[in-house]
Amino acid sequence: MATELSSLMTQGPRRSLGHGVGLRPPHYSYVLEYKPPIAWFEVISENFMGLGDQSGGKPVSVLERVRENYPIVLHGVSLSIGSVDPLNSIYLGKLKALIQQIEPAWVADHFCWTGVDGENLHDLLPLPYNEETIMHVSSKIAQVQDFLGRQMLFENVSSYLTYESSEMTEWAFITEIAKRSGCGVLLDINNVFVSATNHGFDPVEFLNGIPVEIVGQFHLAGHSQRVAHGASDQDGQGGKTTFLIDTHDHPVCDPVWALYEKAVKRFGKVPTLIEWDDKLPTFPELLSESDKARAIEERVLGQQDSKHIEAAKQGESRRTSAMASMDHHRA
Amino acid sequence: MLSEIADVTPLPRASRLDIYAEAYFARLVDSLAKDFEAVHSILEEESFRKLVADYLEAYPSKTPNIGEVGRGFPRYVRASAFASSVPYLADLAELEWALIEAFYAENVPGFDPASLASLSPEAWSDVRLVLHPSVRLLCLRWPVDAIWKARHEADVPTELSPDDTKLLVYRQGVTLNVDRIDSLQGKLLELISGKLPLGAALEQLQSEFDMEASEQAGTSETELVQLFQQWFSRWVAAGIIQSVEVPR
Repeated sequence: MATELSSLMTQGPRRSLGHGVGLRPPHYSYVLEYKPPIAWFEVISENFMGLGDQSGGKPVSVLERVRENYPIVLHGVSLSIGSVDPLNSIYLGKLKALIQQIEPAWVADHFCWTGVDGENLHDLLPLPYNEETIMHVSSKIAQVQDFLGRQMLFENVSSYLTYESSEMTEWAFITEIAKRSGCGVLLDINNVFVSATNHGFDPVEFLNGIPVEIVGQFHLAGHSQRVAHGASDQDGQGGKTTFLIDTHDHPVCDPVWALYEKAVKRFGKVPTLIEWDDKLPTFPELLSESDKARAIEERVLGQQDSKHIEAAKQGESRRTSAMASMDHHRA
Repeated sequence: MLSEIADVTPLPRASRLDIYAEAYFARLVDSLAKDFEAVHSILEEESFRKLVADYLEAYPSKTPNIGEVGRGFPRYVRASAFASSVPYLADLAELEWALIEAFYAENVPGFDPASLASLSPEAWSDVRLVLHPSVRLLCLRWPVDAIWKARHEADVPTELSPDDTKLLVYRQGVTLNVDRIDSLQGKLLELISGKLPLGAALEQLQSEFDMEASEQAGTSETELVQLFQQWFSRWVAAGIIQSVEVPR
């Protein structure tokens, strides 16, 4: 069943959904009035799940109107799949009802925990990368997917710390969970870059460690630099070191665009979303950020297309890249 | 706890954990400042941050929706030191929470007054009026709606005189409304939301006001029915009525 689900999500027609942006309340009226040219929107699921055990109220009626014109992807932040707390059945019931109401293209959350003992820290906290956690998270993801009757995508988070009990890389951890649970991966290119900087690994190694067929979506976002105090002074920086914080309040930076280009080369055509949460630009500015991503994708895949024609002539076309090529023509 | 965190360059583990601690408060202060923007506009930034930090310490979030974190905030403010230094602050917080509840209240189909066309005048006394799920009736000591309405202006009024105030908070379509209503109308809405049939609610209203010898005392039954008719058509127009239940 896991394999079946996985192929549905990451290799089906949804793979060609194209370029979207995160929809935030300050842009609601613009989007409803002007119906801007964007392929799809992603929204934070919890914003449409109401209070207590009620459903969503005003936000949902806005979302239903947006849904009339665009595909919607639900992006959750409170499933807390890594927590040792049991799954929250009220939350899951409300998520299922929202899915039935909105009929999203797909549903995602994060490889993280957000709290314990019923408390919510409203943050995406990193997990230890080891066998015990893989077993725990895989079994919880399987429960959620069974309950919702659909595959989910899970996103790699930006992190600022790692654990003594980690035994493997983050990409090996994610890959193993996807394999065991049948979930897909939402690869956040900015988070790869932020974590790579904060923990001193090579972001390209992360990309190369994720199998092509498990990735169903990309995220791109801006981050902030922070000078952190208390660093060791071995590098002569006076105990100060630059840290990256995943703030979603800036344009995407050049090194992240460069990493996105590498990701497109490796993974082919993957639905790509610009996330912007704070210090929001105008909607047209947000749209132009998404156009940059599209231009990079077209440039990379255009080159790959011509390579494919060559490869096809020689009868050695690989399945995944051929699919990327097909999707490209359809789009 | 700290020993679980890997101590790797370039930053010691305590500093790594601090990043999360700072982000936690920054995120929740920011979220509550948006949810309670009038309260936020009244207080000095530092006082607001301290109030939120104390509140979260006492009532950590247990909700998946960050928009629900402020549920206990009005009650916390009422019991805080601000009860004496800014006595209307808790009323203002209560109004802002009611607006959040109205914002998130369930969507229900609109009420069609044409469905009442066949109702005989006698039958009205037995009907029950069901209010829209977004309706909140607030009985406050301070007229804080004045502050809320001015919250985006350069000069938010910070001096208020106590004045018993009834506010009707409701969502009409996608618009949130705060209406000041007189005590007679407020009392009737209270009785109605307590599920009393309309006839009984009007009777109780009349006897209570006669007993209190308030300015509305001596309102005759006919006058009361006329008043009700005016209010009812206003409530229907404003989407405050969800349905009218007629007993069979």
